[in-house]
Amino acid sequence: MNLKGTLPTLILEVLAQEPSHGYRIAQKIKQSSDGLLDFKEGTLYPALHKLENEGSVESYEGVESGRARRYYRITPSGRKALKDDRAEWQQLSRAVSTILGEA
Amino acid sequence: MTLDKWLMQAVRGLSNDSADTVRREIQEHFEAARDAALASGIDPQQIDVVALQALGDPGVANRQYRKVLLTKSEARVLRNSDAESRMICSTGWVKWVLLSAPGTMLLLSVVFVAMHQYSLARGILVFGALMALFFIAPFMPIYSVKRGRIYRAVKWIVMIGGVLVLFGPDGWSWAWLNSCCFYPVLYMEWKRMVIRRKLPISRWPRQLYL
Repeated sequence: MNLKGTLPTLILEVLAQEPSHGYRIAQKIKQSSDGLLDFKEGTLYPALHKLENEGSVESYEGVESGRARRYYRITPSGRKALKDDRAEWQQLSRAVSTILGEA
Repeated sequence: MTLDKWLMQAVRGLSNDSADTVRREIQEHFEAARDAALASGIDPQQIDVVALQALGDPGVANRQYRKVLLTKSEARVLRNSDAESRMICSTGWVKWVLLSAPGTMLLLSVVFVAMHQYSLARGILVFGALMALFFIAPFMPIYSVKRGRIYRAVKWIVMIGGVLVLFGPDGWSWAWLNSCCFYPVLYMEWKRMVIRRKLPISRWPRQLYL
């Protein structure tokens, strides 16, 4: 399943828990959705760059298992964006559920 | 397909800096995927194939990257976008001639109005206003997003207003001339707008505010 446009929100959700690098973010999204949300990992980084340009996340160099990695962490404005996205998604989800429930 | 070929397609058209960024992050990702695959006991001969498949289509990645990272042409525009300032500030007398030109033109237009040469006065006034807009801007304290927006709004109002004042209702018949004259300006403005969206404000050079 590929929900277009939701990737930035999912990334922010993962980063709200702890700072992480690209590969781990991708794996966490896949694991959290029990493999239902499958996206190509090559598109993860453009989404991260977009969030970085918007000021929702910031990156820094870190080391894991002796290898240099670029880590990403959520910023206060990213947390606010995530809160707004959550509220918007819940509203949308309720509306669609209502319509499908009535059908 | 190998990782090198994947990267070659993914960075097509991107600036050198952007391409380096993409190569570094995808290589890091690829290595992490290989390590994870090794740890989970996947056949070592299949690891690269699995990791590449997970990355997806390089063409799609390239289109996504072009939306958020600088392309070659945008990087070139950014490099050359302070050309006006460099030209103005390069020589002392050039600087003062260019800075005094708008004021001189304003005075000239007043003189021509006094001589009832209205169309000539109008042309000189518009030309002077445009010169002031472009040549004085580098010396103005425009270094915040708000001031930049105000300056750009004024710039567009003066440019459109200048065309209307010069050609009036006959503007459409002179459209060919206007499009030729304003094409370079419009192209640069479009590119700068795209660059502003791609670069975080903290990384904007001074000329992006203008």
